[in-house]
Amino acid sequence: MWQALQFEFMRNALVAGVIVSIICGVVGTLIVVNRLVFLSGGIAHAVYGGIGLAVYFGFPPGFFTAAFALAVSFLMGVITVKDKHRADVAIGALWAVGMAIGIIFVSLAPGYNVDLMGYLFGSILTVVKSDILVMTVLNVLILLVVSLFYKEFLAVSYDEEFAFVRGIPVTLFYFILLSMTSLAVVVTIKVVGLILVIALLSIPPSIAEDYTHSLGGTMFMASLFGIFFTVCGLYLSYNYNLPSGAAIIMVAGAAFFISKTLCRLGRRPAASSCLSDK
Amino acid sequence: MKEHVLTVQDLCFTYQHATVLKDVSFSVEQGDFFVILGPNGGGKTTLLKLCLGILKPDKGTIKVFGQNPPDTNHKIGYVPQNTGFNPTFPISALEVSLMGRLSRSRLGRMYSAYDYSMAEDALKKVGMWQHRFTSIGHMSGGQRQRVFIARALAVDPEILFMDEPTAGIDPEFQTHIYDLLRQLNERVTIVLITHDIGVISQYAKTVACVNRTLEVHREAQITEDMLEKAYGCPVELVAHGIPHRVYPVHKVGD
Repeated sequence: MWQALQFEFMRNALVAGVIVSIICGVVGTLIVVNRLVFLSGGIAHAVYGGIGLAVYFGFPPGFFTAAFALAVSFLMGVITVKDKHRADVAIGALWAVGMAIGIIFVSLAPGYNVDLMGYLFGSILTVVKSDILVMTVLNVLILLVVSLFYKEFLAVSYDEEFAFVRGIPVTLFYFILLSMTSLAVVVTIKVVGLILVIALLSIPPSIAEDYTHSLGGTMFMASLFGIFFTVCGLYLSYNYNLPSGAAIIMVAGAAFFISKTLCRLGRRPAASSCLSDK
Repeated sequence: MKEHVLTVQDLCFTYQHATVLKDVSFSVEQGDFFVILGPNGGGKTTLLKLCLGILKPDKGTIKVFGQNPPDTNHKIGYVPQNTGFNPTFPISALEVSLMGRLSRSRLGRMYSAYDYSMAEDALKKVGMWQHRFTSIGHMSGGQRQRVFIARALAVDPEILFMDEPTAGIDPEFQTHIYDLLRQLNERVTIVLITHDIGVISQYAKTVACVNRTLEVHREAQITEDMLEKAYGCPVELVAHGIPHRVYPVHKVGD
């Protein structure tokens, strides 16, 4: 692994993996506690429509995909805001329609000049300095928003109705969360691809939830788990010549099942997490 | 005459074609201990949510401190019905009770020392201060309910809306909570939903029976008529210390 670091693309891949893991740890925790995993999967897949349009019309793919993702998340928000937990059909439809748009426009596009597999399955080894800059800016932005409004995000996520009664603009926070989700999805696509994004957003927080008692703690631990998974995945990918995105997700998935099994075995029947009281 | 803190006029609410509340009119005076009684599905919780602006009425007006809900919600403490939602959420008792200190005007600012002291006071009042760092997932239903009451108290409210606040709390502590409410009632108006008839006889100043319509009884005395209106059938009443059967035995199918 160490000699791999003499290659710039490996160093970039590692840095990108770390940054994206932090983004996914923070945003993913909010997604998991708000039960928005399916919705995030919908955004991730619908974004393919944006990629297709960008390829067909020759738009700058990165910028246009981000704008498209924001638009999709806004649409998801409008559809689901009235009844967040029963909007699964609408989410499923948007998920598929977005992908269909992508497939159609990619097939209509002249030639085959873009590495579309990179969008589907990730291309962390092709990350360049400018990508890292975008990821860093986004990471700082998300950390800033979440830490500034931490108590509001906590309140809205735990008990939206009470937060509303206290005068918190819950709908605005819902849309902010969806916007952060869509931007997190766009940068995570670079690492593991849009099909596997959902795993990196949901697996680390879900494991972390079992070992901490606070939202902030879950975010922190989820980020560490994410970093661990991406580094291990990259190592396996480099040593055994495996596709990097899939290798990262396999490590995360293995950790998920091991942790949940251990948790179940060691758990007292009434406890809701792996930790004992306090 | 005392000031009316809550006035409801000709209120109608329909949920998916079913009329939940019809032509409801009443007012609550400042300093009242207003108990709402009624059968399941009678519209009690809906009425409370309308007063908080969580739901919007189809017809009629609601004024809280003379304004439309939710404009005056900063003066309101709210204890929702304990439905046991989100039991695995990573949040501690202290964090839950601090939610009572949230406000629109201080969005994005940290909780102040005063906020913490209000939350501490509230948790001490319900006997949950020693469990302040315990995650709500590790609490019993009754303990969680006490934390929800603390959260409403931390608001330092002028009016308290409580939806079956003592459900799941053991009897000893229920008495403690109601004594606490009686104390608070000296300056705080209380609107409370309960199924506990004992509460009415001991604490209520006004009783309202809600079953699609609402009927107010100014003297807090339980009448057979009141119970029949509320439950739609004769009800057996057992009062503390008076072991007499006061009403006819309830036959199934009545």
